[in-house]
Order: sequence, then structure tokens, then C-alpha cells
Amino acid sequence: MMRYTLTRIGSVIPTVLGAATVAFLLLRLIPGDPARISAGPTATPEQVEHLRVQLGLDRPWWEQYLDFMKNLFTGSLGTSTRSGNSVAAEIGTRLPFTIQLAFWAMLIAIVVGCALGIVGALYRGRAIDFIFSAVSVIGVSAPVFWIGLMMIVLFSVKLGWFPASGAATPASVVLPAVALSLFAIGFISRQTRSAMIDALSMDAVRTARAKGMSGVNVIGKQALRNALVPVITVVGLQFGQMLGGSILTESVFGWPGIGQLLVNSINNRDYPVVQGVVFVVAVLLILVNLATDLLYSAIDPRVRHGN
Amino acid sequence: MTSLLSVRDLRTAFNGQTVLDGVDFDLHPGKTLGLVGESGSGKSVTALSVMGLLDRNGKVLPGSSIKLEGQELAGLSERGLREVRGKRMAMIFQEPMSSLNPVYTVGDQVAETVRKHLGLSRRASRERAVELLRMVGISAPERRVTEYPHQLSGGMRQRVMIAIAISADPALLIADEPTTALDVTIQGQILALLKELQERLNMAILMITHDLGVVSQIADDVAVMYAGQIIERTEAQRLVGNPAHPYSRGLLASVPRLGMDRNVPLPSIPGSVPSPADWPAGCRFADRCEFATPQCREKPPLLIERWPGHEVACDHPLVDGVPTPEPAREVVS
Amino acid sequence: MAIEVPVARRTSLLRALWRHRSSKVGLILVGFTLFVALIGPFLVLGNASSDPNYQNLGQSLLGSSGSHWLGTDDLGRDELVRMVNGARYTLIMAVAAVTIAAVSGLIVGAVSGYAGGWVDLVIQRLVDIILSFPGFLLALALVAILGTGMTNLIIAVAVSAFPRFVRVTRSGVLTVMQLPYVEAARSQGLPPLRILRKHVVPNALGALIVQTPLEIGSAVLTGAGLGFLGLGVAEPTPEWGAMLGDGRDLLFTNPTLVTYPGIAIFIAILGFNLLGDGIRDVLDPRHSTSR
Repeated sequence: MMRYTLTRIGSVIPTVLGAATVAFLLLRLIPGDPARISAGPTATPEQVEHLRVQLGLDRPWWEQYLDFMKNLFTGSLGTSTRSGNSVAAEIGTRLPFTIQLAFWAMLIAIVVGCALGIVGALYRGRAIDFIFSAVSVIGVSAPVFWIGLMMIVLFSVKLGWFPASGAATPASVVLPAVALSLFAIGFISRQTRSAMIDALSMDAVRTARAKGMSGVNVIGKQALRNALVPVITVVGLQFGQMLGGSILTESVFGWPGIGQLLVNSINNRDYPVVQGVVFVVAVLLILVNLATDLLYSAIDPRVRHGN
Repeated sequence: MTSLLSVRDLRTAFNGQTVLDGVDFDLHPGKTLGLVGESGSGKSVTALSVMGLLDRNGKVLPGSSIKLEGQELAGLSERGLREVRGKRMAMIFQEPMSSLNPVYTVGDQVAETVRKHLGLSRRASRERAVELLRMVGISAPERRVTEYPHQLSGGMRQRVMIAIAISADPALLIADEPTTALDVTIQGQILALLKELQERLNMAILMITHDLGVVSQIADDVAVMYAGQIIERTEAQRLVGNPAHPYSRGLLASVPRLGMDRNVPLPSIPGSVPSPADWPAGCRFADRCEFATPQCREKPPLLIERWPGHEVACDHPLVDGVPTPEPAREVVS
Repeated sequence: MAIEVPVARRTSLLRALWRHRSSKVGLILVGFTLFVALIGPFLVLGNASSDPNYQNLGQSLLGSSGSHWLGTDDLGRDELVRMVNGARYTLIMAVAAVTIAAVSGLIVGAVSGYAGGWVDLVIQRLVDIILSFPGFLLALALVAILGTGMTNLIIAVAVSAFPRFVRVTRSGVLTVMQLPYVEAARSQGLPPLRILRKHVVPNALGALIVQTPLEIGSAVLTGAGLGFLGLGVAEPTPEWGAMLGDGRDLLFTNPTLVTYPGIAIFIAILGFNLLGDGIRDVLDPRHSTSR
């Protein structure tokens, strides 16, 4: 177990370095002169040169790269060309909001998605299974930015139940979290359903029934635990989807997370911030994938015994 | 002698298609009945019908009777069956590999049954699990309880399954091809273990198998199934010596025996068991039978006691391997 | 997962899909979207407002009527005309991006799976790195760097879909390579390219065919999302996501300007998703979702 954990943790390092390299390359991929574009159309040649030095674009590329990586190790992601603040600080103030939003959305998605999937599997082929399957495919097909706006019209404007925008009150998180959860609900519920159907047909489930175990035991303990492994995989995958979707959700609901920071920075051509957000999100996702794999091995003993 | 398990006119259907067509048999306390047949003959469905473990498409039809110690199980609710299963009747399966839950330790899975049926505390049931594992011949059971099924060999897993099955001291153990997936040497050990436990616990065994060799080793009586019906029933030794149904003889001939000429290929019965949708009107074995006459294909033979303690459903039962002449039915009855 | 698609079955695939409950709905929805994209712009011809960019500020924000079935937007442009013309942009973008991703993913995945060794290792590491970014974030970052416009949009969406095609192809190839006849072909010393082309790729295609409609649906979503953020195709192109993004300023007064493009995006994605589910069920019944 210990060895598996350590090897798995070790395997994260090259991926993080790769993600950092991609973030570094972003600025260098800009067609034309990045400093010129970043400074905006009204900038004077002096301002452009100043920015070029600030971004380090006046030096050879390998020196820029080494600097970039060295700064990462000290926790520095550079300086915003717009506000002059450190990128790390800007992200630091925004990140908790995004994590809060993703947490609630994921919680809703796991609870609702698993419930729909389990019920669908238990009542396979019946009307309720058909309805839940329809809900799930609608969930993965409806764009979050459209559903989000429709929810604002209904729940904020017409009914006045929740705030339409911002993060001022605790209730503010409800609409964005629900909107963001829909896609994951669809995905998790269909995965849960098929994993549960597989698990319910296991010989071990028949053994449990032959032992005289109760229905709750058979479904909850024997089948569900086995169904959890594929479900956890999909939850881990959904987290990446959710971080992507939160960019749009934050934009719809004016939620002050890193998604909004990213979109604003793109509009302001504030490239260091764009780089920083891209890198931080990638690291977040890599860590979630790591956690998923480790959880996996805790649930399925066959994984940790290398079988 | 009163029977422990008494099955009468058992009919089971899957999706409306009858697959068991009136099965009758009795099993006496402490005895072993071998239920024999090829795959598709209905022997496993019989076992699952008794246990009430048919999947959602399967149904025991009304009019069937399954009595365990006098209690009617056919038509009993799932809740009612749960009180019987694991406690008074238990079952082990063909695939010890997949029959145990991969995500729980062996000890958990044994202790769970003990707790459920004997109402012991968590700790006491744990100790009892160790004891049970020792009873089924698992060495160092204190250590094994913390291991997971994938860490055990196939034979060990089947022993664990047996430990689970005997944990509540059931009166009936149904064993569905318990040795088929195992190596030959392990097969013998498992059969010996079952026999030993049977004597110790005075437990009746319903042994489902396609292998008459297994039957001759362990069974007192034997019932041969074909196409959803019992076609021959007698003492195990008598059947092995004097099979009366051509099908039983065919099954016997396909079992390899010591001292056989290895250069002569084992005879096998041509064709396969007809599926329930294709059951013929007359004798269901007629299409594969070398002795079939036109009359055989017209009316189905009845299961009749032709010799004391020996019933057979064939109009030309074999005597010393030779079919009795036409019209056998009228002669006897 | 390697799914074999014998030639004889390809012709009956459409029929099987039509018999399948959910993919039938998918076929209808995708067919409808295709029909609108191909024929639609000609059907709405006839007057000045049938140019999607014809502005008439005197007729802005009208409700639905006989002359403007879905009303007009804030610049007096006919909403139905813009919706119908938008279908082309959405479909061209999604299909082009997924085609590029599928073809390049097929090649890279096949090489990776067939070559093995360090080639495989390097390719898989690179794929891991691309996959460590959420797909939408990657597309967004690329558009931010490359600039807006149809070509850049296609590149961005293609890059974010590419690694999944590599993965699918590679695992398909690895499975096929273990088949006896492929091993036999290799042991006879046939040239690798020939084995790849004749034996491996055709058999690994099944998984790719399952993946493709789902990826098109996902590409529509990504493209529309970028358009919504104002980073897709340039104004005044009537792209659905961009129309939806423009309409949100008028959400409280004219919610239909958000509703209609949203429904269009939803129908297109739903169609491709149902079609993808159906193809998977038909080709690989083990993973059936409906039975």
C-alpha cells in the first residue's frame, strides 16, 4: 500500500513539470510580438519596451524558461501587467470561491447522480428508469451557460428565491452550484447505473442472498461497494469537466472565482495571469486525479496488491 | 423416514418459457442426493428455485411445492426466504473465484453470516469465523481472516464458501457444481471435506453435478435430469451399475474410468439438450437416442418404478445395456 | 476496447440505429440540424431581412410575428434568419475540429500503440500533459493566445479533443495486436505499415466510430461556450453561442434572445449524444445503456 502510494505520488512530478512547460509556452505561442499585443493598441513604444523587459521577452528563450521554472519553485507566478499585483496573490483571493463552487456542485452531483443511477439500476427497464435516463442525457447535453441564464430568469427574476449574481450572501452559491452540477449529474448517474447493474449481477451478490442477507445489505454493502470503483473514476474525471464548466458558470452568475479572473485577464491581454490560472487549474486537476487513484486503491484491495 | 426436503411438481419459467417441467424428489436428513445432467437440463435452475435465488426473469409457477422440514417455501416472500436461507439451507457455487465479494476480507464475509443468523457479537462472530475456517481445513485461520479472496487459491476460496455455508449449522446444503472449476486433486479434497462435514453436522446435501464420478463418490441417491424433467431416479450405486435410461448410460459412458484403454476415445452423446422452446411432444431424448422408435416420438414416457427403488421414464428401459422390447409400458402396469 | 465493424455490418448500421430507441431520436435531431444548415438559409430568403446581418434599428426587439417568426434582436436583425444561418457555423466548426482531431489522433494513437517502447512512452506522457488541463480551459487558453476567428476556434477545439482520440485508438490497437491473426502477420515479417493499414487500423476503428459523435457534441458545446464568452468567431457572425452571449444583456427584458439559440445548441448536442450512445449500444451491446 505504502509503496503503491509513493510511486503514484512520484508519477505526478513529470506531469506537473509538463503542465508548467505548457503554461510557459502559451505566451510564446502568441503570433507576432507578445509585448506589442499585450500592451494594447494605444501603447507608446516605450511602454511596449518596458513590458517586454517585465515579461522577460528580451532575453533568450531558455533563460526565460529556466527563470519561469525557478520562480514556480519559489511559489512565484509572475506579476500582473494590468494591476501590478503578484499573480499568486490574485489567484489566491479568487481560488477559494472556485473551490467552494466546485465543492457544492460536486456534492450535489454525487448525491443526485448516484441516487438516480442506483434507482435506475434497481428498476431497470421500468418507466422510472426511462425517465432518469432521459434526465441524465438532458443533463449532459444542456449547455451550462444557457441553463444558468434560464435559471436566473425563473428563480431570481420570476420567483425571487435566490440572488441572480455575485457572492454576497450564502444563498448566492445555490444557483451556480446547481447549474454547474447538471452535467456531472448526467454523467455520474449513467455510470452509476451501469456499474450498479454489473455489480448486482455479480456471483458475490447471489452468495450474499444465499447467506440470507437483507436487501439493504445486498444492495448497499455488497453491490454498491463494488460499483463505487467505476463511479469514483468518473467523479474524478468529472472534476476536470467541472473546472472547465465553472469558467462559464462564473461568467453567467458573476461569481468571483478564478474563471472570471481568467476571462477578464484574457480580455485585458494580461498574459501572466492567464498563464498562472492555467497552471494552477492543471495542478488542481492533477492532484484530484491522484486522490482518485489513491481512493480507488483504498476501496478495491485488488488494486493495492498489484493484481 | 420423513424427508427433509420434499419437492413436488416443481415448475419454473423464465420470461414465460417453462424450463422446469414438473420435478419431484425427496431428500432425507443427513443423506446426499446427486442431481445429474448436462448443462441446460435444468439442474441448476432446480437448485436456485429451492433457494429462491432465481434472477428477476425467473419464476416458480403456482402449483409447485418445495417443502423444507414441512415448511412450504414456494410462494414464500423474500423476507420469509431470508430467514431460511443461510440458516436452515445454504448453498455453494461453481465459481469460488467470483462468489466471494472481492472488496471484503474473508473473515468479514464469514463473520457476517454468523452475526446475522446466530446473533453473536462482532467479536464473538469473529472468533467463530476463525473456528469455522479451521473446520473446513484452512491452515493458520487467524491470519487468513484478514486476507482478501484474491489472495487465496481456488480450492481455499471454495473452502471459505463452505465455511460460510455451514456457519449457521444448516440442515440442507445445496452444492452447485462445487468442484467443476477446481483441479482434480483439489476436487477430491473438497468432496472429502463435504462428506466429513456432513457426518459431523448431520447435514443433507443436494449435489448438483454433470459428473457421475462425483455422484458415485459422495451421493446416496441420484436423480438424472433431462430437458426440465427427472428421467431416472435410484440409489447411486445401482445407477452406476445398472443405468436403465439410455441417457443415463450415455452419461456414464462419457466418464473416464481407471483401467480404460486410453486409445479408445470416450463415447459422447451426440447432439445437445433441446432448448425449452424446442421440446418435442414425445420423449424429449428421442432425437439423441440410438434405441428410439416412432412410438417414442409420439407420447412422452412417464416416470415409473420398474424395479423396487428404481424409477425410470423410458418405454424401453435398458436391462444389462439392452432395451426391453415394445410395449414395455403395458407389461409392467 | 476493440469493436469490429465488418463491412457487411456497416450498411446495416444505419438500420440498426434507426431501430434503437434513443439513437432514432438522435438521428432525427442531427438530421434536422443538418437539414437546417444545408437548406435552411435558402428557405428564409425572400426579403431584405433574410441577410443575417441586415440591421434595421427601427424594428429592433420585436416579438414574434408573421414577418419575423422569432422576432428581432437589438439591432433589428431577424432572429430566425440568424439562427438558421448559425447552424452552418456551429456544424462546420464542430465537424472540422473533430475530423482533424480524429484523423491526427488515429495516426498518433496507432503509431503509439504499434511502436510501443520509448515512442509510446513519449507520446503517452505528452497526452497525459494535455489531459491535465480541462478541455474547455485548454481551448479557451488557445483561443486567447491565437486570437478569435473560425480557423483558430477549430484549432483550439481540435487540440482539446485530440488526446482522447489518441487514447481510444491506442487501446484499440493494443487489443487488436494480441489477436492471433495479427500476431501471425507479424511473425511472417509483413511490413509494419501494411499490417497497420490492413489489419490493425480497420479493427480499431470501431472504438473511434463510437467516440466521434460524442466528441462532435462536446465540440459544439466548447465552441458555443467560447462564443458565449465573446472568444469564438468574430462579430457579427451569427454563431449560436455568440448570439446567446449578446442576448444575455437583454435577459430580463427579452429572454427569447437567449432562449432560442440555447435551444438550438441543446438540440444539436442532444442529437449527437443520443446518436453516440446508440452507436455504442449497437456496436458493443455489453455496454448497453438502455437494456
